[in-house]
Amino acid sequence: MYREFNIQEKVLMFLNSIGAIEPGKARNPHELAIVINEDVSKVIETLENLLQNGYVGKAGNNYFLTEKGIIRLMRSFS
Amino acid sequence: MKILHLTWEYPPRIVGGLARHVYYLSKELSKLGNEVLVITLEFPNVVIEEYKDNLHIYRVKVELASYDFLTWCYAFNHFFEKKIGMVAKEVDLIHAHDWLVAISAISAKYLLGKPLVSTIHSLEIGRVGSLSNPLSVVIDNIEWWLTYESKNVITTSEFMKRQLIEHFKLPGEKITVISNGIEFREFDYMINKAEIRAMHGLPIENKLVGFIGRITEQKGVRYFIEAVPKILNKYGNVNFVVVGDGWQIDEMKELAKKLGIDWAVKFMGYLPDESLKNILKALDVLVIPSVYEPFGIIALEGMSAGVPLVASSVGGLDEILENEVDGLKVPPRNPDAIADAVFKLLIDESLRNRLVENARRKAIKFSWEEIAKRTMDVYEKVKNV
Repeated sequence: MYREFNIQEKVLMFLNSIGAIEPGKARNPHELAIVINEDVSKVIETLENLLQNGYVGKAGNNYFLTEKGIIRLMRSFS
Repeated sequence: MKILHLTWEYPPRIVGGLARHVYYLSKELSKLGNEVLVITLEFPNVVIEEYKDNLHIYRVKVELASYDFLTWCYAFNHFFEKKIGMVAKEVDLIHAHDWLVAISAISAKYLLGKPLVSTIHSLEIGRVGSLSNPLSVVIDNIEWWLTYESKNVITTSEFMKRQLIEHFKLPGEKITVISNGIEFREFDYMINKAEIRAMHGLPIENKLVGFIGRITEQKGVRYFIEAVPKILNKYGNVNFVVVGDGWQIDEMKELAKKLGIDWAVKFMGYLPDESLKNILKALDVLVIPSVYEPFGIIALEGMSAGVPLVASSVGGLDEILENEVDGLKVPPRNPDAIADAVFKLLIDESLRNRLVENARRKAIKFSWEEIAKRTMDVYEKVKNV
């Protein structure tokens, strides 16, 4: 029923894996694009969409996972 | 007894029913005179240590970066092990909840030389439907490893017990069924339905039918959406709410649009506990269309809240509910059956009242106090083997 991860899931998953769950640990979209092997413009578009829905937060030009984002990600595994 | 619980979720990190399960169970176990330690994951803006009435909560920070979700799991288990070494050397028993903490739980069993009990709240094969990708195969393997290493495996329904026996070939005598519980009093209060509906921008005069849960394939929300036009054809004055969040939310909104019923369905997203309870109580019918449900705590919540239920006859739901006595059961993946059952409840007030009364009488029996006592029996048994 799941486990085919879309770009939103990949982004949230990577932010979680590297511990970017607070503003001080926010990560750059260029770095994210390289790691998840996606086009940077697509990653920025995804992050902005996630930001609008409250799943990620923004610190300068970098992004981090919010409480809501953590819960959404974890719901795929429990 | 000094008991160590390992769980990846604990309030306010509430991913699913597991967090509430460990919260209430650990609280009741401590009330029974046990010293209870809970090691769990950190959550933004929450204290990392709490202590109250023999109950210690330790929230662990994951200080290593990982490559992907699985290596992250191994990493957080490493930090769990570190915390166990720091605070839990003297425990009498280790209790693990689900595959995510299996690695640290099994390490603790051998390092501390104490018995391991695990509760399997759900299985990968059920959540995903098949083991057709590498990650699911690994998770399935870890789940088996945890059950193999545990002296006793607790599950929340007979359905889950059968699944463990069939899928992992576990001996039945190693498995104990202890249901989930409900804090009945938390749902036993009066609300002004009109006020709650108005607060959420919902029509006051119409009937309100709702789904509450994760928006995932497992929860079957698509069958609820597909039932909506069928209900509207039979009963005009009704609105619908979908409460919850999940990966399918955009797909479900699209489906509602495609069916031309998006005007009648409000997607409310994730709601905090208090609002969630109020919305639940403001419903005229709660639909639980799951296709896989190890237990189905939402059914107990609906029953305690005094809301008539329409639920799939799957897993734990099938065991909790008696058809036409305390709810209406429908076959899974069947929007026609959902629509018929909802219509039946909408037009028949005496049926609604009868089901609600019986359901409330049943729900009150699922107390956490009783569940904690039964869990203690398991602990005593494994300690004495």
